[in-house]
Amino acid sequence: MDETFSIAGAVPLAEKEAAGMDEQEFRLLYDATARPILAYLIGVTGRRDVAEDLLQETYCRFLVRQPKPMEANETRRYLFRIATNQLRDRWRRGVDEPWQETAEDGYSVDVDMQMDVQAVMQVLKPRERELLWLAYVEGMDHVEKAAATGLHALSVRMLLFRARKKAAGLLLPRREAV
Amino acid sequence: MSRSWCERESDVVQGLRTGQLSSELRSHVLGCSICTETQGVARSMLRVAAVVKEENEPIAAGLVWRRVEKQRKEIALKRAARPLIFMRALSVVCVVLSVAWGVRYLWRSVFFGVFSGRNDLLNRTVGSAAAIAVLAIAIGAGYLLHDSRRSGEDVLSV
Repeated sequence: MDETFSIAGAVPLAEKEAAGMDEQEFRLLYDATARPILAYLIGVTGRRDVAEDLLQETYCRFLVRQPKPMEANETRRYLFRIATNQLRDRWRRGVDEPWQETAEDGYSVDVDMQMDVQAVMQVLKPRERELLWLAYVEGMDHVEKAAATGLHALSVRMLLFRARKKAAGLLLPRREAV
Repeated sequence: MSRSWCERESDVVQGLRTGQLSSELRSHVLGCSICTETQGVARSMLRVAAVVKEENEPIAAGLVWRRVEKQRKEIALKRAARPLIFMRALSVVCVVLSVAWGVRYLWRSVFFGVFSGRNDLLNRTVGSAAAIAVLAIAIGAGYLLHDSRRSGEDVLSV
């Protein structure tokens, strides 16, 4: 049976707050999901400070919003969705430019590989970075990626194809040359 | 026309993620340009992701929980203060209307001689003030009713 996090349902706010997730439940959820979401945010922004800030805001929004009860997998997708929306809000507002940090700030081991991937990520558009990460690191299928990004499943397939082509064009010649 | 996807692509990604790429899948990758490309990109990203996950510890859950609690309190406070702010604005409008009415009445009585005694002024003043007060109460009650319904809905969007 899938694990279910007890999240208050669509009831008036006062009841929601009373019936919401307690600290113990939140810790379980956080321990199970925070690390991959933080890695995703670092991977897409290239900035640890921004990623940490967005991670906190993601969980704040999740808890304040108190969505209907959902399974663990659905909760995970929902958290990725909130995180992705925040990334876009941030870029839309022009708060910061992605990939301002040096390699040492976000990535520090296996330097060759990281420099290659970082260089590729810098060239890719934010949406392409998001899709590649969700597809290959998180292993999400097209429907899950669509739910996590708010895109249509058919668009996801096409955008991922383009992103992969672009990344492969940039990344593979570098690896072969090494 | 070149293909844009392969039905084994997700298997290749899952195999790479779990570190269990079967020999059958390996031989498929060798003969499939899409899966070769996918394997190259996915492998690089997975290696970097593994390092990022290992090196970057999320902040403690307790800190996030406390931030949420603070945010909840702020939202509750804002919601509680909303009717008070509205009623304050309404009372300002009420006073302005009453003063305007009073000034208008006095101005008319001085320049046109409409003034017909103290009792008349008192009756008109009381009547108008009562009308304005009833109107203000009705608007205030309507707002409070609307606000109590709205408080069931959410404040923050995802």
